[in-house]
Order: sequence, then structure tokens, then C-alpha cells
Amino acid sequence: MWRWLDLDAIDPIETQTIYDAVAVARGRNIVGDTLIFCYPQSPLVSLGYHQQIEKELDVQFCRDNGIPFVRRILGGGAVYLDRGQLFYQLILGPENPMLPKNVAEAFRFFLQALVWAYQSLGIDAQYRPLNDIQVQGRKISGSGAATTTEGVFVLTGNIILSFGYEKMVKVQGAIRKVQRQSVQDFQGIPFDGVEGTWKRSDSG
Amino acid sequence: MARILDRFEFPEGLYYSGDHLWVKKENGIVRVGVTDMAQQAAGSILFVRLMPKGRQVESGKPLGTMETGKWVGPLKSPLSGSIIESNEALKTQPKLLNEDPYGRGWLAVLQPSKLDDELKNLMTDPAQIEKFVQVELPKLFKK
Repeated sequence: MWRWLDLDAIDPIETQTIYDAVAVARGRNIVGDTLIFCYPQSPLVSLGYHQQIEKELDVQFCRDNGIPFVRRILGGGAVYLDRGQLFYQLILGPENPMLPKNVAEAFRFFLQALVWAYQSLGIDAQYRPLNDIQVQGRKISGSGAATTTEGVFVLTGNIILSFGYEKMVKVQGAIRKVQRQSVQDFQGIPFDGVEGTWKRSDSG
Repeated sequence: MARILDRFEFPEGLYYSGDHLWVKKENGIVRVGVTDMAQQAAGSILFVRLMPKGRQVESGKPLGTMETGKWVGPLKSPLSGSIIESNEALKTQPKLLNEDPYGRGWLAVLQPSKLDDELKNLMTDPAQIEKFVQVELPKLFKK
């Protein structure tokens, strides 16, 4: 049996810790398979499991600007996250029949739902292996995954609802090794209509 | 060198776990690593993180993690014991797991605590290994 947790706006660090805790609980069969939606009340930087924080991030910049940073249990690189992004977080037990054993297949299978979501909102999104969603050849959504010791599969990513281009680029200046993106990379992608489609607790 | 299904190397004289690691006995201690099948299934390995020297490990529990294509997964120890040495080269050259899984890509050297008992749970017979490969193949590789 599945359950859906719509957590709405939460503490930025908790956007990365709650699904971790749910995965632990799932591994102990305390809870069932879970899909979480949430978004951070304020910005944060999330680093990949194997990254070394001091090498990847200007920690002092983040502290000076009140931006928390956290290492997640998933792979990938450092990313800037803010309230303009809805996070989806999937936690599946190893016996779930929907779960492909092959990681590449798991990304392709589950991210197709995200492609459909974007397309239903009028955005011509396409899946690009291994784990990207693109519009007009440009990446608009990333994801990461992990398998825990108990075989629980975790996949998370983001749906961009609105985008603070300038702030993202500024904060990404603090991320030493990042896919450098400029404001121009995101212009032209019709995010504006997406936010209006999704009602949040603070949007009235 | 045994080649299963004309595709996966499984050297003779080693023991193999259901979690896709190999064990080589070396005068009372053991060296462990990932199998050729595991590294082929994983693809290009980006990071390897191993527990340090002195840490106790249990059979079936992680002795480290690896990352490939933004996926992180555990490397499950085939035996219980303590880590005598971790392969430091993997910190900067994780692709050694891909290039030479049975040689320079070794993961760790253990002082086993339950060797005789736990070796019984590992595979050495080529027929048994081939059966295992047949079962794992559709799980790990897209048709």
C-alpha cells in the first residue's frame, strides 16, 4: 500500500532529512512505500553523498548569507534549492513490483511521470538518460537516487514552479564545482504558467 | 579464468557473494572486491567511499558505498571481521573498479572473524556461479 505525504512548505534542512528518515523506517517495515511532496520555506544548498563540502562549497559565503547546506544520501552534485521548486521524493521497498532492478531503468520509468506532468502543464519536456528532464535541449530538472542497506530505493528530484534566476546564479557562485549556468540558460522556458497551476499554502 | 555466458569474468580460486563481491584468501586474511558482473552493471563508477582501517564489518552489511550516474548504493561485505586496509587508490581513481575489478580495483583487506562458517555461504562452484548469473542477469541489465 502506498501513502502520499504532502508536506507543503517545511524547514529547508528537513526537505533532505525527512525522506532519509522515511527510508530508514521503510527498511524496518515500520511504514509502507511513500511519495512525499514538499518545498523549502527558504533556500538551501544540497550536496551529494560523496562530495566533500569544503572543496565543493564556499561555506563562509553560505554562512554570511544565511543559506544552510546539507549533505543528502543521494548521489550527484551540489545544487541550489528554493521555494520555487516542488520536491518529489519516492521511497520504495525492495519487494515493490513496480521497482526495476536496473538503476537506469528505474530512472527512466519513474521520471516519465515527471515528463507527463510537465507536458500536461503545457511544457514540452523530454526525458534524457540517465536522469534529466529537458526542454528545448536544456536541463530543467534533475534527480538522484540511492539504495539503502535494506534495499530500499529512494529517488528524489524537483519540479520547477518559478525560478529566481538571478539569485540562483549568485548562490551558485558559492558552489565551486557546479554546472555553471547563466540566466540565459533558463530564459525562454515558460515556467511562469506552471506556478499558477499549483496551489500552495502561501499562494492563496 | 572462468568466463560466464561469454561475458562476465569469474576467476577461479575466489569465493563470490550474492551481493556481487569476491573474496580471496591470503594467509589467514582476505582481500575483497566487486565482481566483473557488478562493475559492468554499475557502469562508470564515480566515487567509492570505504570504511577506514580498524572498523568492524558484518557479513551483508556495508563496508562502503559507491556512486554511479547519481545513484548511491552500498558495498556489502561478504564476510564479518575488521578492516586491515582499505584501497586508498579508489579515492582518486574510482574507475579502477571498472578497469581491474580483480586486481588494482580491490576494495579492502579484512581480518575475518567467522571465516570457516561464512565461507560456506559463498559460491565457488562454476555451475553454481553460472546459475546465479542467469538469475541476476535480467535484474541488472536491460534487455
